[in-house]
Amino acid sequence: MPSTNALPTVTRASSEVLAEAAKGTDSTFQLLYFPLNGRGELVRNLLAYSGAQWEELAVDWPVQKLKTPFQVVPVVYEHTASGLVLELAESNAIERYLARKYNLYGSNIWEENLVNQYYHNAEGLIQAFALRVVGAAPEARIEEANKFYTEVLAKFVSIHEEHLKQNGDNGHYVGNSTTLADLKVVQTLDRILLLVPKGGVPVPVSKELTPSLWKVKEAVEGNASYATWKKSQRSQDLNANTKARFQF
Amino acid sequence: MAATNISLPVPTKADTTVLGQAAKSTDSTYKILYFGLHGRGELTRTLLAYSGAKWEELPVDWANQKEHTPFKVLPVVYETTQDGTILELAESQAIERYLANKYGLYGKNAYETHKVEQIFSSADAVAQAFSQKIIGAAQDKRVEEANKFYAEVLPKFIAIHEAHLAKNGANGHYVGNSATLADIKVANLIDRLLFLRPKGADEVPFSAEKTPNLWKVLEKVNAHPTLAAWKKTERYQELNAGTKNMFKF
Repeated sequence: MPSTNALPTVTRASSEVLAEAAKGTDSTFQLLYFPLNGRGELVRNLLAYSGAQWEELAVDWPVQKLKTPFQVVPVVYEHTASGLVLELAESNAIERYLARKYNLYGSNIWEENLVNQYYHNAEGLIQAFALRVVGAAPEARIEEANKFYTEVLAKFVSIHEEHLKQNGDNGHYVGNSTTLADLKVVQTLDRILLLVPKGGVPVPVSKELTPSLWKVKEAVEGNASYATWKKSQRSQDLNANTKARFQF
Repeated sequence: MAATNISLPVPTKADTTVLGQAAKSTDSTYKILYFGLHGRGELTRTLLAYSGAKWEELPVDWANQKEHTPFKVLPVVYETTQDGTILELAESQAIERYLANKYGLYGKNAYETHKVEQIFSSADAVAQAFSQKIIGAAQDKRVEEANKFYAEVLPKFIAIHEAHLAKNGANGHYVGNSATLADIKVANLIDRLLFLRPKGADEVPFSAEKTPNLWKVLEKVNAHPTLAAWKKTERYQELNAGTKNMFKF
């Protein structure tokens, strides 16, 4: 439950001082985002997955907008153990920052690149979904969704099932452990699985149809603090709000 | 003229520890596979030129090459590292970050990297909006859409970014005292917006007078010698023409 309306005061200091303070994994976080999934979902998923202490700030957008770095949300305020407050902005920049901090970005420049390529390929998928399905008039949704599943999603699935098999079909895109790539793809699929037009065909993503992708989903959902978050009332409310907002 | 040629470099198969070692190479040569326009290849070509590395373009024969690319999209970049390893880079934004990281354009610590990413994301949102609303508009709607964009979307971006640059000392850089991917991305965006102004549309609202801090970023990036040299090449002019042709500007 959002606890306060006021935005934290951000510490002014050099990037060296801020970066030093932000080392380590004992910060607490406050997230400013609307009460739906949108561009806040993966940030929330990462905060939950990390096991860090985090809470949501109450949104009062007309008042808060001009106080945010780019006049958009999400914004995350990181309270470091040493008492500094860092301001993180732009959803995908926040996601990468958290991934780096919590060791979810691979262990060298090559692995980081691999994480990025899967991240961006998934971003392409969700953008196509937003444009073609969510953006369609409600009466055209079922047809657009069907086209999306057979033309766009099927191609994505086939490419990704292959990549996952090349990595040993171990439930991970890169190496042997969870990275931002896994979390991004799972969130992308969750979004598509959530926003199914009423009366439409089932999304062709499942344990039977997409076994390697499903393994990635199960691996992420096996994380205790992530699972707890997903079961929470707040997470259920966000799902419901998202469906309502886009008329699904 | 490039002959049709499906043959692509064969990436080295090895585990990611080995490839990670090879990827540290700052003495690599590169081959880029992308179509004859700027599009999603532009920032990659810009970064390759900016880095001063040796690079060349591979002839495109998309129908035959598609199946051999990691995600069936372009660009793909093949890097031959100092020790002879061949690395296959895919997805434009992943390639851009990899090159930025490798060539010291990604910030000096995790917080600076985050600031670079904030700016990149903010600029990319404008680039995408431009692509959808103006490039994607029917030709008879282009001028109207462009004018709306210049009057509604750009002023907000400009105000926010001029302020960020002022906060960093109006030194021609978004982060610290040196060029990063943030500078290069924004310079690229401004160049693209200026270049793809529909005939008859209003002036694009970037200039030394109207947007002094952003203009300084643009000038510093474009003054970088190896980048400036690339932009003078015949190939670069072909890409300009290819871009205008493709999108009918």
